[in-house]
Amino acid sequence: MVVVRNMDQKHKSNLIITCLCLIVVFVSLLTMYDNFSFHTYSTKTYYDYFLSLNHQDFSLQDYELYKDKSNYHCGDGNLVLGKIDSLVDGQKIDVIIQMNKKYQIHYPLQYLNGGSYALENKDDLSSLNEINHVQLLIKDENQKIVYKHTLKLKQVEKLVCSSKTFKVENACVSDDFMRLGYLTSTDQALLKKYPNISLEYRYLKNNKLNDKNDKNYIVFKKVNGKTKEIVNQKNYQVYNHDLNQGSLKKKKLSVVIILSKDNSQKSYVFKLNFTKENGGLHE
Amino acid sequence: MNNERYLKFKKDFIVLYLARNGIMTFLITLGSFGLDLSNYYQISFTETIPYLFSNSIFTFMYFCLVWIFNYLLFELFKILSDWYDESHHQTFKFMYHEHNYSISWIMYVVMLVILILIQILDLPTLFHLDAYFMFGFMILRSIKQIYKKRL
Repeated sequence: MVVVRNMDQKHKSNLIITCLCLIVVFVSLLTMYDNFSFHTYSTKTYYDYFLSLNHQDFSLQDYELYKDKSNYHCGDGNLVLGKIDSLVDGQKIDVIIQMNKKYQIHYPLQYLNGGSYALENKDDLSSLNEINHVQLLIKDENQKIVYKHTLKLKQVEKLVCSSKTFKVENACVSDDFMRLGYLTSTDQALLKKYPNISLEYRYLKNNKLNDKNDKNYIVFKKVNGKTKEIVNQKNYQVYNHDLNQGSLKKKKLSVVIILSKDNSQKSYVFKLNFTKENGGLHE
Repeated sequence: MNNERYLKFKKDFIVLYLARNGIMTFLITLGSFGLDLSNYYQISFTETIPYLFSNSIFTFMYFCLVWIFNYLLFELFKILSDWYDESHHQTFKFMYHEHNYSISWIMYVVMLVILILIQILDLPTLFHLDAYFMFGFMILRSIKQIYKKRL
């Protein structure tokens, strides 16, 4: 190049070295971008809380509020009612969960002092993107408010679990509940080779036992299916744990992933450990 | 006694001065990653910083790679612009406050062309932000050179 010949020696050697290094780094940037974006850009979660109430004899447990780009869950809690002076047993009431002082979810029930009710999942408010204030209201037949109390938004304990090409996103755990999360992967060749997949979620029987020995684990949930229906699909699944076995939060959790072909002995098995999230994004 | 302390202070400051390009490119990389993540997850900029460093080793590795890339790009820009200034082609000269200033405008034209090319190519937002910051930094440096080389 005519232009380069006019440069003096010092500039030329600097230029060549810088260009060489730049090319090496540029190629690395290109090849590693997919891996970087797989690990950095995961599903955006709009909110992820458990509602709780513990006031006099009233309590609400396990009512989950969760929304991400493809899933919404609002409910499946247990409500216990205490004494309300103006009501008699058997009277029709409307239990309302009110969010952001405006939006409401209704559960029509019959009042019973000390009664326990299951509040099911409702998708009335799936368009809401932010939750900052939740209240429990109880109205009688004449629409008069007989009970009102603020509910506590409990943060969930988020779990992370990943290897270079596999990742379980949006898993979380509490004492007696675990959201299993979605399995995502970038290894398309491996996924095509094995059309069947089985995920076994398990915990260590006792934290003092050797975690390398598979016999020390209890498998609590198995998810089976076709690879293309489970991997990279955002299927929302949960597991409810019996508290008599100990708090699930305190156990060492891991998942064994078994990829297999139809009618064949050959399968590809590996395990991923769940750890508590560090430096994650808190909503 | 005072002289020794002054010399030591100067030496410490010189280290920072020599590393100024590294520090600036670090801040630029941090800025572009932070803004990109805060836009994707809809959270504030300060919350993305711990996410960059402690979420996954791959995120951190890529951050370092982009930092090195920015640094090398800046060094390349310095070499090319210094050499081109010495050759004194295609400059735009003017007088201001009794000083002669000369600007080689071709550098800015090339930067503008590259900027337009980047808009057309479908690059991720991260690299768009990085390009804007880097070009801003390069323009600042060239303005500093114009001022330094005034006659």
